[in-house]
Amino acid sequence: MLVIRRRLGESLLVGDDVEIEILALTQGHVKLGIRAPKSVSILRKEVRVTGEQNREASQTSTLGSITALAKILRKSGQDSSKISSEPR
Amino acid sequence: MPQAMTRHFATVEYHEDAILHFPSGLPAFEGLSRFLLIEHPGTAPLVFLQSLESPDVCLPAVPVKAVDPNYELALTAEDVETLDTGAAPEEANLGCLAVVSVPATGPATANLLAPVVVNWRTRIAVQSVRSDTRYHHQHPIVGSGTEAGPCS
Repeated sequence: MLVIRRRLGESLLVGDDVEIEILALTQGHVKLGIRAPKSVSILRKEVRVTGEQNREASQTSTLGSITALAKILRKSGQDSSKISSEPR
Repeated sequence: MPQAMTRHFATVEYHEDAILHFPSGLPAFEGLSRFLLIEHPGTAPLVFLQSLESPDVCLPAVPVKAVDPNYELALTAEDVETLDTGAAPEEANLGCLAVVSVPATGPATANLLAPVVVNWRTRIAVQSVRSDTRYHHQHPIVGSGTEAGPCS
């Protein structure tokens, strides 16, 4: 991994047409500004990870494996079957 | 009654009020906005988010509370706006589901990083991807969240 030190207000260039600027620094947070062509996809990594997880959840789960898991959950008393109740 | 092709239950009839609307889809399924919430006695407490637009897409899910009774929701301002909770989001009637992966081999996991949050009043839903690192996208399900001992 390439490591570069930058200060507030400085930027760096990725390839010919992507610029990333350090806009703000607060405790533990960095605010970045990204200038890139519309064709470049920019995603928070968590969103991609969730997308992969969603695809896997849909493709690999079978009714058999889901039913088996449901039995285990009911047995271990984790059945809070009222899904409309919300954790506070 | 309208009918839907499903991944696990062939064709089912449904009520309009069982539809959840995801205005911007879900990650990996950005183009799909209408999902049927299927509850099946044999799979409770798990439910299914079945796409009405793509029969092959069906996400198993479980109430977040069933996985982690102490789960704390952290919605972004954008999610609050999409959910249209009104002036007091903390008082809105929200549901919170975790998408579950149940592979044929290997442990079942729940995505606690990105819960599906439903506004029951409007049936609008979002998959809210957290920006903190407090919860994992592959949280092991079985054995977690139980206060009771193994014999109770």
